[in-house]
Amino acid sequence: MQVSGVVIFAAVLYFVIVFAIGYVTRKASVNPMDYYVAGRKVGAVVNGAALAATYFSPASFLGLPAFIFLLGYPFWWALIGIIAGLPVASMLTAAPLRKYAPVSFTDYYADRYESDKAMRIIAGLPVLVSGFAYVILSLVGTGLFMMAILKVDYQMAVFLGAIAVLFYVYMGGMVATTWSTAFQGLLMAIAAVVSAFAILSHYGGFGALADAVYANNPNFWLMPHAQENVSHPLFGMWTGVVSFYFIWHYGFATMPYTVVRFFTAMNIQSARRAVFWAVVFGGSMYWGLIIIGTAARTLIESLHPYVGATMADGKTVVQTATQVLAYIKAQFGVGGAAVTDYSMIAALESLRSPILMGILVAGGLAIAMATAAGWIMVLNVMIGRDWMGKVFGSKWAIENPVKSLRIWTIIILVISIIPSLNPMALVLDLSGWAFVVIICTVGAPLIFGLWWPRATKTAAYATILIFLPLSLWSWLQARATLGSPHWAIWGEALFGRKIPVAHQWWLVPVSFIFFIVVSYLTKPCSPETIKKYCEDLH
Amino acid sequence: MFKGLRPIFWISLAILYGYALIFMLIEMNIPAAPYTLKIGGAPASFLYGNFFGCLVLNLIVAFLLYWVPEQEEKKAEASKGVTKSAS
Repeated sequence: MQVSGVVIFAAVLYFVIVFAIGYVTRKASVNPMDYYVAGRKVGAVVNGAALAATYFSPASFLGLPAFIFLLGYPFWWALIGIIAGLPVASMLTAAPLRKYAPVSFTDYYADRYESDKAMRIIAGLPVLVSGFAYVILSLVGTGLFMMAILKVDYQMAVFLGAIAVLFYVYMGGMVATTWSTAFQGLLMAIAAVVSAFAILSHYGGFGALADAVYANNPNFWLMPHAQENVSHPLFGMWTGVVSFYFIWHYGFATMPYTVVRFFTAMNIQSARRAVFWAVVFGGSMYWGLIIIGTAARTLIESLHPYVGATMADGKTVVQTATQVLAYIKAQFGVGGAAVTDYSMIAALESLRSPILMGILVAGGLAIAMATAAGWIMVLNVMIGRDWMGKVFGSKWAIENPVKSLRIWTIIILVISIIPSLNPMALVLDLSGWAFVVIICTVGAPLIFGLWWPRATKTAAYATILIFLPLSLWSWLQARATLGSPHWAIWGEALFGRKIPVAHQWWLVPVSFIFFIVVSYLTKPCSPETIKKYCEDLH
Repeated sequence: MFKGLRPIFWISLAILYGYALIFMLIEMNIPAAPYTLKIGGAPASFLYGNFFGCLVLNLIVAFLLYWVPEQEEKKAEASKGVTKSAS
């Protein structure tokens, strides 16, 4: 298929704007506080758009419609749960953390749990592994978008995406990241909404779309228990629906790359209002993604230009959506990327509209690069400022804070590019675990530290050190022995059957209960610290 | 535990989780409900799940979670002013 000039123009315009933001904001980030937290001057609308773009990664833009394509209607509840988690963060973490106003994610843990050096390292461990997993995923997402839509060489696309992110993070730190990410937030919402309206207009409305999906696959609409058939084995029990609703639900309140955005808000009111705007941008995008994911299979099978092509074996004629995606993957073949990763792009390609593809490429690049930049800002502050300066006492890092962060930005990107060039399936899948590990390790110490005087240092250490390896082991164990990380590892032992639980989500409530029990058994922090966090911040 | 969280927070949680629970229960008990329950010729799931569940309900809750505390803070400021002028 030929690439339209409109699509190329949209991609070039996107890169020009992103580079321009980095260049224009370079002088606004000479001061370390500007580089770390954008001088705490970011307004609610800009911060809301930036929050949405940072929080939602290529796993949202490519992955969630692919999940609906694969698992059917019950997966809609996962998207509803994700957006419902945004307002919850408003009071739970956004307002109190903005009032406390730390500079980095580990500042809070070090101060709340009265352990300046060791806590910065321990609380940083899950952030480090999760952060790298997400930066790699985001670079791969950037590469996939450019390769599949612009037909650019995949490795070249990864380099181009990484250079763009490096440029604006290096030049403008959090100021550039905020403005470019806000621009990207607007773009991704527009891309998803416009795409959804194009699909609805193609079918002639919601009813006609639903009928076409039903005609293609009647099982698509089935919820567990109501009938004998199921949309997918993972939705054969209510645990599948409920765990997918909650799996990403508390992420917005606890993930480092969103939490640090609250530090950049002008004041508490602005932090709360930013959450509202994040729902405006994120909710609109998710509304569109549900429509795209629902229509994907029907669109691909009825309209995609590759239907009727002959596969590489010379015999099989491409007919089903899965065969179309396999055909695309064989053409571009990117390491461990799943066949379904192309479903969102292929669905919209079926409508054969250059303008739509132009909007989609800009939105897709936006969401991938915004997440990469958000995570890089978390990692460079944590390593370049907290670990080098505050833990290991590097005089150079203390005296040259902006230089230190810039150098770490380069190192983080170089380390991330290497596995992104030929990504293993395991590395890409790990982004699912990377989300759970943050909530079940640093989630309880973060939330209870703000709202429970009894939360103790020992409980924080124990929860992080136990649930970091435990979550990785159970996730890998389920993937290796049960075929998917979405089956609970204890299902067959306890109930004699496989129990669907998304990404071993059961570890999240278990980690919270564990934190409470250990806190009751160990010595609380000093009365001054408790007063500061559990009274003064409210 | 969670002392100091305003009542609007708990009300918001009840709205969000209550809404999800009610519709999940309906869908799990009425065969093929997401497709067969219709409003204006289209499956109702597009309205209660896709539009309200994903967007409108969360906008309302997010609005309440910033508007209510702001009103309370304004009232508290005003009452402080009254107390100061009285003293």
